[in-house]
Amino acid sequence: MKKFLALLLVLVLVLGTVAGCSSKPAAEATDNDAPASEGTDSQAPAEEEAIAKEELKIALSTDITSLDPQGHNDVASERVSFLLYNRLFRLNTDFEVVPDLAESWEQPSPTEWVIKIKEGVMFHDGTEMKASDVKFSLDRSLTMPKVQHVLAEVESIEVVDDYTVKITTKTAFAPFLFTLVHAGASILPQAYVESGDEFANPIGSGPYTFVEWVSGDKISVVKNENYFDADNMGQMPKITFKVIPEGTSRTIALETGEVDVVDELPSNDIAKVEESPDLKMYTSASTRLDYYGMNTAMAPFDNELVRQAFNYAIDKESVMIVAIDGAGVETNSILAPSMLGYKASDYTYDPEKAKALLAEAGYPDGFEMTIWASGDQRKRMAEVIQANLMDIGITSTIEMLEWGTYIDALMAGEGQTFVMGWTSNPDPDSTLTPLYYSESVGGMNFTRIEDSKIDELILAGRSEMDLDKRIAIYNELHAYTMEKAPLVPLFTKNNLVGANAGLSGVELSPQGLWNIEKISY
Amino acid sequence: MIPVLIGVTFLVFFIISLTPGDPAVMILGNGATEEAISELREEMGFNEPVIIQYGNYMKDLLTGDMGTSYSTGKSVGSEIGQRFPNTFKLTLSAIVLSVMISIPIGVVSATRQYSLFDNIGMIIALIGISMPSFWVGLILIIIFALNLRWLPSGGMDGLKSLILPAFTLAIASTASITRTTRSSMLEVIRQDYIDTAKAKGVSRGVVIRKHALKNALIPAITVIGLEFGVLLGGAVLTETVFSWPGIGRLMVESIQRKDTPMVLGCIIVFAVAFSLVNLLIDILYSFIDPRIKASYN
Amino acid sequence: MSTKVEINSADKLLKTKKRSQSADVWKRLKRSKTAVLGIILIAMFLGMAIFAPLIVDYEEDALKQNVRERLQEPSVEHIFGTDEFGRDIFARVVYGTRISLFVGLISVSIALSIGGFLGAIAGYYGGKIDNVIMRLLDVILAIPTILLAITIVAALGASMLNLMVAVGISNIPGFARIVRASVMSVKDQEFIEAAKAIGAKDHTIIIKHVLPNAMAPIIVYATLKVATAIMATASLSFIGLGVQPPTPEWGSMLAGGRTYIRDQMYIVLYPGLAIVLTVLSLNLVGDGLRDALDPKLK
Repeated sequence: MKKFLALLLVLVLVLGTVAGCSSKPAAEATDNDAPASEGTDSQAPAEEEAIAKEELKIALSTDITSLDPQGHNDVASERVSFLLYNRLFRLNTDFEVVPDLAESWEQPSPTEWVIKIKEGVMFHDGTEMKASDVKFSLDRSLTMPKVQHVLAEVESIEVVDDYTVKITTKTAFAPFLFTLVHAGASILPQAYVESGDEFANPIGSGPYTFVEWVSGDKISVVKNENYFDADNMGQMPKITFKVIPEGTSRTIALETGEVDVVDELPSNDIAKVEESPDLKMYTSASTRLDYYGMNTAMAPFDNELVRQAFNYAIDKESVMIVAIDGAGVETNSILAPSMLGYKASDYTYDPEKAKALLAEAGYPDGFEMTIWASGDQRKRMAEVIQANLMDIGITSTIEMLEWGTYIDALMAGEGQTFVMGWTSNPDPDSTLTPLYYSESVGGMNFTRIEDSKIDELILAGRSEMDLDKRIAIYNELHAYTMEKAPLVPLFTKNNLVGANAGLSGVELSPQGLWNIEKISY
Repeated sequence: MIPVLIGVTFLVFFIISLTPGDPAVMILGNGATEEAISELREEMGFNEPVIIQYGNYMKDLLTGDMGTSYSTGKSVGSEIGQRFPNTFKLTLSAIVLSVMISIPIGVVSATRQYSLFDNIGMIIALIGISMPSFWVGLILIIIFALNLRWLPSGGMDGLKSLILPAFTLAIASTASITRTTRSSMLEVIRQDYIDTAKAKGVSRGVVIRKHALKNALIPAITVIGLEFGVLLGGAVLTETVFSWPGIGRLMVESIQRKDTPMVLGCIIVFAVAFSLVNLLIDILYSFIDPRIKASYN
Repeated sequence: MSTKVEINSADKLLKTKKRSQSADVWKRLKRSKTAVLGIILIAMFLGMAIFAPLIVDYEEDALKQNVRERLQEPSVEHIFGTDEFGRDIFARVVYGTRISLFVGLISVSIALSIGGFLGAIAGYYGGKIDNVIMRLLDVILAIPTILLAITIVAALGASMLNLMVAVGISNIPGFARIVRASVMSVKDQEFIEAAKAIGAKDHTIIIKHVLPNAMAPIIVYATLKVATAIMATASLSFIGLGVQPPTPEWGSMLAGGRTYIRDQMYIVLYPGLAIVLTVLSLNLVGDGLRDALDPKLK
């Protein structure tokens, strides 16, 4: 009997505690903010502030994959690469091309670009950057599998003199300078790369120098006092990127002051950051398109009608709510709406029409298929899609893959359908070519669409220097491609960054957290 | 122990070889050409039958080379070497914490059998082994890191960040060791020689400490060894929840990346660590258990 | 002639021994209030699993997404609230009972049959066979259980079937050891000798005489192992290697809900409680059985 009573007592206690934790969030916030903030204020404030001023801590959602700027194509690694290395050009927060290493440039002919770099740019090991390093780096970029597509337009690179290179492009390529802002076009010291260190202790020319990469935990960099660009020196003496895969934990770390900035704040935590007087929310409309792609080389998605049916079958609003709590915009064409030449298609959420199209395509009873995804957010999106498809009679299984494997397998054309995203550079061609051009099959053209008219329009848009004509060309391209429907565009999300309210210089570009070297207390 | 470990390597190698997918493509990515891929396949021996591949792996293993990661290209050995101490720190702390809590509670519960202390203690223990560690971990983060702000919510930044993950990991094993200590203590107490000692007038405290405890600890030590293995497995979940950079998390990430050499390396390290601990326990056992000591003399 | 009579009465004795033994055990089991509580809880969960379709509708409540109704707090309409897809959590917990119990029972059955078989053979024949079998099992034992299950599922792919196989295989050595120990303690007893003397075949002896007397520790162990199997399933689902969406499984519900744990704790609370209570009740019953079957406490 005693044992039984004891059991009951403990169960009640446990349930009581647990139930107490799930009290209404609003009440919890106000109840806990007062004592909690008092707590942090009185707990060694001087110590915390002193340390905070020396080191900037940024939370990343995944570990970086490589310190070699040409060895990765992901956002996390890019954040670090932009601090360690420079490119010939960079983007400002309005997504305009501004010179970085470039001193001046000319375009003597439609396919030739002569670029002079600044003199006296020192690498972190004290050696000076020369044109030979530029040629070496850009040549190397073309051989590295993860970034080959960035400079695909380049025909050849010549060293003119110690500080000048001449780049010849294959065709007249209007947005050429935009390709040079990518991390894959970073300028590396030839001597270092050839020394065989394999980026264990990378040397670049950027505003910060490398300290350490504790795998799975953090990456630390310190200010480069000899940075060539005095106007854009790093502000914080030290920056540490902390790897916190768990979304809830990232927000908690921000709220407790363990980190100062959270890159990629979970969308359901926006309210918490906005309500807190110690924190500030930064958002920007992104150029990122989240889409649901179909492998046009794999049945039954080689049938245009099926793909069009899918465009009517997906409830994009639901997907957006579930994926990002609605912090974004529904998208109806092949690029983000903010991009040049965007033209929305006519597809709407219409399951009946979807079923009719399926029947027309020869699948009145639906069929079975797979959906691939990677990561938590895309998994949720896949689940909504799965439910939408079930409504039109299609059964699907969801397969989860790790990011690196995901990309490799999609490049190899192994996925049937997949949830994917693409963050565009400001110029539309940097998205259109990798995603929809026939020669990009095997690269980033995961839907494997090969259509001569699409190719034709892409090429036309690329070399057209007149702005209005370019827009017209792209409008046509959008309409035509959406008719072919290689994918179902879902939404364009907002970039969400949460930061300590005491920070200044926190800037966002359409690609998210930007110009990290400018952040300071 | 050695033949068992060899068996382990073979078993794990065989299981992992069943994974679908072309490792050559995984290493090179698909920017590479068809020729490069088939060349790599030849070079790495992917076309050979499993037995031969296993032989090659073991040959390398004996020289300490665990291969290179398919995804980062870094040496598996160095990566594991970097992160294993973190897992070891975590599991060691958890076990020490467990033992410090469970042995006293187990002993006291046994000596005061059926008391309120005993009953509540045992119930808590039962609940302890019934709670999923990742659930508990998340709740603890919310209470201690967020609401109370006493402890960090993750990462590995000194002693403070060790507390929550170690505690989370320790809950289930504490419960288990407490129960075992209590039941073996109960058994010992009922033995005749305890009554004899009491009859001789020896005080209760001395009886417990000198006679009962040592004998009761013997089964407890075995459980501690077993629990270490459970902890190694539990480390996988705890490290994920607390962003702890150990090889448990590394193993999960490597599985998702289909990074076979890394997964293989992690499991082998786990198995070796587990076996070593058990070996240690066996040796400890033979020192404590006078019956075994006698049989060696 | 007389031998036959002896055998018949020996047989009868065995049978009555078993019958009164079970009644005895049941009586002692009932004495422990906690064990009874455990039994009641398990019965409740079993009931939920079997009668699930009568309680809630699978298609409508557990699977169908209703994004407008997402993340709603517990109310009269949805007594456990709704999850991030607008699905009724109560319905998903109820159906999750089916999955958890199913996976738990099947994986333990796999472990019990294969492990029991190996253990019985090792224990009965002893010698070299024993050695070989035990060594092989040592290899499996050297890898912590969860890690082995993770590896197997990782290699074969995440599905409910592979999950059951993986958890089953990793539990084989445990069952083998228990059965072996029990067999070894029974095989030298007199009635076994008697059976051998009348020329009964080995497998008959093992199945009809040795195993039934070894049942007690096996049953206790099996009960406790179903509990750990359920826990293992939840753990594997948590890291994405378990049952796949949209099947409602408690562990994957926890995994999906962890983003929302601060504001919508109920998404994580109820599946978590379900796991705790199921595992707890199995442990209570297992403990109770162990005490009830313990000859020393007679």
